Amino acid sequence: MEKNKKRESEIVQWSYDLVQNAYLVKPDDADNHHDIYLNYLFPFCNNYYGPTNPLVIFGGHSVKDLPERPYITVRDGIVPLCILFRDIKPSAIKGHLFIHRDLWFTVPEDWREKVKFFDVEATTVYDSKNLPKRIFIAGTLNSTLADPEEFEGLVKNLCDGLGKENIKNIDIMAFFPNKRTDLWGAWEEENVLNYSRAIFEHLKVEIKTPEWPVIHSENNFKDCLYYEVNAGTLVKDSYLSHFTLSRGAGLLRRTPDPIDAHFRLTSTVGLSLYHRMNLYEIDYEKVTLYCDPLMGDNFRYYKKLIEAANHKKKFNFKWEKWLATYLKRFFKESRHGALE
Amino acid sequence: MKKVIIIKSSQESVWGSCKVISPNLYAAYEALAEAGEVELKTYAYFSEVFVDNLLNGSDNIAELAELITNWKPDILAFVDHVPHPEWVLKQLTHLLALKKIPPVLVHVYGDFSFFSDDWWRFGIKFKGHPVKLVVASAAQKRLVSFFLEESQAPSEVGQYLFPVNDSQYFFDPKAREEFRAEQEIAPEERVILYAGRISLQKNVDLLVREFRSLAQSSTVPLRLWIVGAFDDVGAIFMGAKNYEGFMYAKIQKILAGFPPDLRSKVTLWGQQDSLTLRRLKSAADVFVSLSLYHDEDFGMSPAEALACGLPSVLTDWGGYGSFPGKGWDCRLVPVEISEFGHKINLRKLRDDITEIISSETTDEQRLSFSKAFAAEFSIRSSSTKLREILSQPFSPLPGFKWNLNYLSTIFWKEQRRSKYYFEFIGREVNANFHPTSNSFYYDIYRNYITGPLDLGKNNGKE
Repeated sequence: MEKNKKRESEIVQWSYDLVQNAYLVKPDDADNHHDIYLNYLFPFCNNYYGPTNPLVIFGGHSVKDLPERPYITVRDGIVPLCILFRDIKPSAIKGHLFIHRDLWFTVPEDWREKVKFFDVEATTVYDSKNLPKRIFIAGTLNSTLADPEEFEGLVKNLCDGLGKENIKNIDIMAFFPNKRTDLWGAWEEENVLNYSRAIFEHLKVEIKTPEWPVIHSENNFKDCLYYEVNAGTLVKDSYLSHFTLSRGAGLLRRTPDPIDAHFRLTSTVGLSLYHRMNLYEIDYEKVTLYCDPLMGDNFRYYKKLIEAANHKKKFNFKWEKWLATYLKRFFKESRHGALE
Repeated sequence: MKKVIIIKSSQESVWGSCKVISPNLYAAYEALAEAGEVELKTYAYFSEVFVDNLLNGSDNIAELAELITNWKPDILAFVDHVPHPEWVLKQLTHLLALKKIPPVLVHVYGDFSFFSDDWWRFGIKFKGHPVKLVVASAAQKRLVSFFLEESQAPSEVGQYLFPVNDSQYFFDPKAREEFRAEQEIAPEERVILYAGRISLQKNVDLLVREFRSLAQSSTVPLRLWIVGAFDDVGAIFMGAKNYEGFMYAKIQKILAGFPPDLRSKVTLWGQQDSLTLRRLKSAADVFVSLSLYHDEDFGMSPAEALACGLPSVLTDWGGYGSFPGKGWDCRLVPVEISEFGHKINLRKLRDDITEIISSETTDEQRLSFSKAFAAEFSIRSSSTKLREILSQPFSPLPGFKWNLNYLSTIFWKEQRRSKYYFEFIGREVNANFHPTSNSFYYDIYRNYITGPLDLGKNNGKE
């Protein structure tokens, strides 16, 4: 302190801030596959900064690139996480990984010591008793974030949470980038109609659809509910969520889950004036043992089927399409009855 | 009576300060029109960057050409920071011969260097056409003149301050009393206020650190209020790009090191409307901004604080250098561009703040400061300056020097490479564009410093 008082001047060097941020920048040698992944998930997988080092690992980072930090927040969804747990040995990570608490069931036994959990909580929570003045709903009109079934279910969830009658009186702004590729199957123009129908049927027809530069330049989301139609398959904690929440947006009230009782809140980290990240540990003794999706007869049988169907592969992503499809189905079916 | 077509954007600007500046500027033109001194028509241009309000504005340049042909205006005036005049005039020249386009007046904003690419093209296409560039401060005049052909440079750039809305920002003694009571501020407590974006180049982190030092040595109890949204634009000209959330984390990390009782004296207010801002500025005791922002051509937030009669301590940087005056209390902290970075004189900063907080500024003094500042910076008084600018003859644009092309090449290199506009600006540090002496950055931004420079050059100051 004494030293501080004597300082006659301050040299401001912003380039040091660049160095501090450098680990977040996609490595220059990240291969083309990552570029495809990044473009496909733009802007949901964009980087943001936080004290717990949030990263989208499949946005170009391999484990050797990961800094030797005591903790890293993995924002990825089910599929990249399972591949991470399959391909990497826990000893390769020096610190701890935080994954989204909704994905607790993906952690293999040998990874349990290394993995902790997080969720994002907004200061403002909306429900049918505390209504927002406007809703900002975001997602994609293809299966990037949710397939048609999941999409309709998630939109309906918003409708049920606020009440259909109430939604009629709330302004809605929607952002659904429509990329003409589809991860889980051939791109079909009709799908756009399916997705659109779900929005119009469960919400309303009068919806504003600003483009990305307009959304990106908006700096006030107060009195606004941010709702993401995202099943968490590829990216769980999105940049758009961080972007809107840090500008004052709120979230829909979360439906309680029986698993909640087994999470222990260890600390809370502020991400902005309006939202924070909660960090948890889980009591593994209270939940069923992990069931490895990548082992067993079902997997081998399924793999053969998909390999045969995709004999001429057009894409060669590291997170192969057949594996992703398999994992998606596996977790949909096994999620029920996970608690003892 | 002069006929003026005002060309403005059909959309509201995305920048907070421009949301205030453009309407105030337009109001100054309207005040002249109401006084019967000019005749106005407006043309709303749809700028392609922001495509949301397509239906609200005209995207038909033929309408503008027709208006010019039939109405025969004396001046085309650009009052917004977008559309850039190059975008509009380029299209207009497809329909009208250049000699049929009336003299052009451009209110140049701080983003002159950001739009260096567009200005360079503008200089090539409209060299010789009657153009008046009107800037917001003496510093911005020096910066723009640095890029203009030397032969006629100083006379080509008119200086005109952006007007402050004094019906929104004035000292309100009642609000001061009420707000301090609401916040439980003791009469002897002094409040240091910063309002504006909390961005890397605004150096709010340095202010927070200095607050700790001040609070521990001050004889009066202190509070720090920080008002504004966090912004992670970074320092784009330095290649320093922040990710979302970095500034918040940075400030929180500093505050986490504070003793708990001192931490409770710092309030982050977030973004506030103009009414709350007036109350905050009336209730505070000193405004401090240590901004070294690359396009700080004016400083609307300090101007609004001064309009509220608030004594202010500002860095000698950009438009801030135009604020000290006889009728109000505004002090400048010396800044240098040194071999290692921007150097801020902390001793002067502490001395100025200590002097202000140790002697109480009475309500009468605040009212007097507020009135004196408004007399020079309000919309009404700005109209007078605007009248002079409109009445003076327009000279042919001398064109820009090659160094503007160099700036645009350095800065827009990344931009051109990027697929997403604004996404990956300036990710690379350019050795020639760093805050060291004998660099291109120094050559440009030494013009933002009013006080003596470390190299002691005159640098085109008036």
